[in-house]
Amino acid sequence: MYQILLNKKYLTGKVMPLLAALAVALCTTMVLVVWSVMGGFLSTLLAQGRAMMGDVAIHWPTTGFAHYDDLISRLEEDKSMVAGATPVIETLAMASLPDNRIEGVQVKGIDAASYARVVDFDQTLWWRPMTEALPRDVERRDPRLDPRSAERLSQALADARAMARPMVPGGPAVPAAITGIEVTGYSRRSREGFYNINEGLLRPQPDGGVKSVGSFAPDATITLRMVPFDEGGREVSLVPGVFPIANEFRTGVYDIDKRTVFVEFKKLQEMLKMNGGTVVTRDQADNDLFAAGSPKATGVVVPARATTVLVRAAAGVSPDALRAHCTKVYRQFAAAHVRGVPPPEMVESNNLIRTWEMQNATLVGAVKKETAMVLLLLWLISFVASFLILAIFWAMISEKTKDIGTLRAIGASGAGVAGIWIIYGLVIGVIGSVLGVALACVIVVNINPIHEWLGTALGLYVWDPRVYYFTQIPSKVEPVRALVVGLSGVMFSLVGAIVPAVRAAAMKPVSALRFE
Amino acid sequence: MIGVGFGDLATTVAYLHAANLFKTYTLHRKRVPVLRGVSLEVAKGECVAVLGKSGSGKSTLLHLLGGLDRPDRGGAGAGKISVDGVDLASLRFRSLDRYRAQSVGFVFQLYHLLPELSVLENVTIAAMVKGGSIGASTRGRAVEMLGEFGLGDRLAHRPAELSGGERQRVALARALINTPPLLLADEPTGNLDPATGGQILDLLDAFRNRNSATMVIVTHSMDVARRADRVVRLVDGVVSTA
Repeated sequence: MYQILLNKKYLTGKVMPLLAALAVALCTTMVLVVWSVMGGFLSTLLAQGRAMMGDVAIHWPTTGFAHYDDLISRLEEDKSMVAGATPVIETLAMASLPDNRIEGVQVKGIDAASYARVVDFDQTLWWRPMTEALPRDVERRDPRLDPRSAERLSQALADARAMARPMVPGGPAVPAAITGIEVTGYSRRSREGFYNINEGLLRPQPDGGVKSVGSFAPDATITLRMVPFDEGGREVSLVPGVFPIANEFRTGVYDIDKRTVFVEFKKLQEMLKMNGGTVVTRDQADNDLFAAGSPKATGVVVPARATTVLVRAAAGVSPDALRAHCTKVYRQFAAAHVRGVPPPEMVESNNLIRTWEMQNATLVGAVKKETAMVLLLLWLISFVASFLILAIFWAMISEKTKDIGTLRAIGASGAGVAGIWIIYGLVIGVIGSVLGVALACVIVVNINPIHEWLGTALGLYVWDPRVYYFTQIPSKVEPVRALVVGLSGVMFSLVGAIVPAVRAAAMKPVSALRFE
Repeated sequence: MIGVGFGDLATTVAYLHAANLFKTYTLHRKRVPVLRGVSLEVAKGECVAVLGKSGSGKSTLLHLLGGLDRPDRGGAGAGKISVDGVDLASLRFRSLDRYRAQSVGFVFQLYHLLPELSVLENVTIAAMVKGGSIGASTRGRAVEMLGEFGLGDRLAHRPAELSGGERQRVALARALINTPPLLLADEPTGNLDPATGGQILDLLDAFRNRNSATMVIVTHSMDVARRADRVVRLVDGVVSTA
């Protein structure tokens, strides 16, 4: 009781506790703002990647595996676990870009209809008519907003959905490619987050001159040179293919946007000789990758192959649960196709059934580690607040030594005296943490307008969308994070109060009374 | 002389019994003996004045009697203090705290009021320490006592807004609010003019008469000592028989 009375007096009558609460509040704000932004960044990255690549991929590289359609049927049987599955062929290619540059790219053959059920591919298609500007594009300079371009953009969107475009205006539609928006280098991202198409680009030429090239990728073509492999893993021959570019896509993950080209599944399957058929000649001594000792005879029908099956989880199913389910289904599938598909033990031991996070462990791990490091540093800085409180309390206790002696003389125990300072630390921690969390919420929720203001008023753009994946800074405060940070603020404050409290409790009453 | 006389108490059992008290402090690595075998008996209701010069060990003796400190142990220091039959040496820290809260009222020369608290709060805090929360009756008693002490219109004032005499009256009210059976006063009038000091002694006297409280007053003033039942002289840490 007397502890509460004294705390009331000490808290309202001094500047020091206000400073201590302010220190706790600032530290709490700092940690929560950074955690919210960095954590939001990671969550957005994961969500974006998952939306683009499904939740789980069953993968057998290079040669691919047969009977993928059966695997898809088996997976889609359990609607409570699987929302959809789609075959994909992944391979590497040398891409001759419209300006004659050669780039190594990853080519993905997709079946547009089933692919759209598994990943949110359609929403990543960049060139489409728009009426609403991006949040930072206040001057509405995004070319997609220009009504004069609407017809061309609508055509690009339709071409992308059909994965076909005429090679020349008015000609017949042929299988087309959709390139990542960073692949061609045509489009340059503005500070506002949109891509310009209006400027012609100058490309260096072998003769030392430069050539102006058009800057709208969907008007151009791309040549992909790929190496097909037979079911035994032997390369057959280099296969070139010229594709008109139907559209560009943007996932926001730079590595994907810079290195990925989508083409139509059947077309790629055909180019890579993975479309199956009857084997005309076959060497008896050939190695069969999956069924050594069981060579195929001439005239045997070889089924079509795909390198990957992407699977999307049903609502409420975690990627890890889906992965376990896929592993189980794959075992049943392999049992039904002995010697025809990669054995499950090989698939599992090579970790070829993976969640998106596992596939991109390097990128996700780097972001996670970066977040953890920044947080660790901030926690350490916040720990300094404990020492600040310790110093403030230490000074206050020195000032109050005589009072402590008086309290001991009228019967207060050492623990009772310590309780005064523990309660004091607790109250300062709670006030500081509540203020800090509230301030952090205000900052995080308004972080984009604040950032805009900093950019406009001071020219300070910390979050440049030309560098970062997302145009907007993540601005959501997770309640659990707020709680953890708030409780940590209280804890740091208590830690800072404990040492001075113990000192107060250990004071000899007589020495305290005689203190000058 | 105030209260009952020494002669009346000669055959009664001592309420406070201190025997062979030694106390040595270490200052700058030097041992400074303060008490060198002090023995004292005080009967219930008796008022004893401990007279002595500065540094003679008066205040140290008072601190030992009030349980604020403990006498030396071992060697020559095998001193013992018992109050109302309770051996203070046998009390653990928490019990010693309770002893101070319930049985002892301290009055100091420098008042030792808590500067952030009002006059009323400075008095009631002693009741809070003793019993946790306080009710309206305790508060009423404090108000009444402060009224009797002439501070009825100063209840909300802070110690810094009071004169020395007023502060000592507040300190006295704090010491008396729990009606302790033992009052220990360390130079209660040392900082006051004779008239104000006299008022303080009158209040102490009135409390003792009303409650049969036992009192030990440490002073170097003969005027104060003359008002006690008995005077004990302390010279260089020992009771003087001269």
